[in-house]
Amino acid sequence: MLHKVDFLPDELFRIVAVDKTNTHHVGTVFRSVYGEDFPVKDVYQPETLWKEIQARRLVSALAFDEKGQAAGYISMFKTAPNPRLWEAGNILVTPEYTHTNISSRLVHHYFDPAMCKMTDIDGIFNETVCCHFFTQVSAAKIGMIDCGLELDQLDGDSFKDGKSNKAGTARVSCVLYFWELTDPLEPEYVPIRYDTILRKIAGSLRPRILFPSTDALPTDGSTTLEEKYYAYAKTWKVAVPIIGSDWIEVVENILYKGRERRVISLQVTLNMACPHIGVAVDLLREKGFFFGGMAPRWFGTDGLLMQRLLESETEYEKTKLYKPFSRELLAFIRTDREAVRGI
Amino acid sequence: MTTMEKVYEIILKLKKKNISLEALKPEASLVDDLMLDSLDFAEMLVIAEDVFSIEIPMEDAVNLTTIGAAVEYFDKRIAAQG
Repeated sequence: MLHKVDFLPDELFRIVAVDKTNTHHVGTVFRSVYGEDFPVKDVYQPETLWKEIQARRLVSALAFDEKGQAAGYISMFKTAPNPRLWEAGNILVTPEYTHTNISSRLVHHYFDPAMCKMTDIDGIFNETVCCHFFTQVSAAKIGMIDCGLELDQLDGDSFKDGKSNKAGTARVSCVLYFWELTDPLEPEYVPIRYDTILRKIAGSLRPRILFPSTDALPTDGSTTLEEKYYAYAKTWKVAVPIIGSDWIEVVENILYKGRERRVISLQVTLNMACPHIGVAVDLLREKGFFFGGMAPRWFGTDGLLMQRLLESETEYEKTKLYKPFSRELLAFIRTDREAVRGI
Repeated sequence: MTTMEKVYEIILKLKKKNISLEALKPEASLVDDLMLDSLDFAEMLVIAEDVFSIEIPMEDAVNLTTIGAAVEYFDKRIAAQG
């Protein structure tokens, strides 16, 4: 399990799992960087954190220095519709230890195969920011696969330390990195227009069966949605496990509500188990949505990420991308975005 | 340009020339003397991989503690891949 104490070789820091006895140190780490302004307030609430850990919705670790002071934090939590997926994130180091390799040590703590022996897990994903290289390099070098690119997902001003938005962009895009730990079992469907790029992404993951999607929308049945709205980031993520006969109205409602909420980044992830995903994508493109990538195992089966930006022009040239394939994805996405503008 | 000179150039670029030239010496610690934080360090790896056309595994990266150690490592990788 992840809950293992790890004394680092240089013995400067001690990394331990967060438990009931040390949850109060998590808030200390976040306050040192964000004051009281970190948007996810749970990090300041020891009891809430402990409940999340007990419910197995959160696993996290703290780094302590020789004096026993909290020096860093890392966590994994559940945000995808598939409860067997974990998101890795919230790597944080207190200001006095930024000039150390503690963040690398924290990343290694989680992704060392000897540590990560959870069995009820399809994979781990990480949304790595594109305003610096650190998390992209860390993810790539431990073997995670770049599968998607979420344009302008975060507010550039939210990087409160004033240093980590090295690109200095108004909005910050994220590369979706994925580490797949079980084999996918069900066949899936790909829109013909995205066949090549999706097969290229899938080629770096475990083997899966992909068919071209040629079915029409169903004549009955309702669309189902699961949504996460991040008001502070002006980002709205909508997962679509089932695409029903009402798809056109659903898309129009999503757009209407997105504008009403003054959302900037609107992301719709479609279940690739739907044989009619191709026509659903065509309808999204008619409404200005463009390709984002694959969200592996998002529903147990894979997700196809489509995105639309309301009120944002991406600063493409300042987007920092480490892997060549990430740059290829950006080029593809940029072309697709231009194409849907002409529809 | 030697590997050492190229590494100096990379560090000057990272620190946006906000560093004294006397600080650039083989024994200088990247973290303690040159004050590279984790974000700078990652950027250094990315630039070095590009400049020297090498790949740097993470387990090797943690050993790049000084300019001299980095230069020695880069030269070995260049020779091995060359």
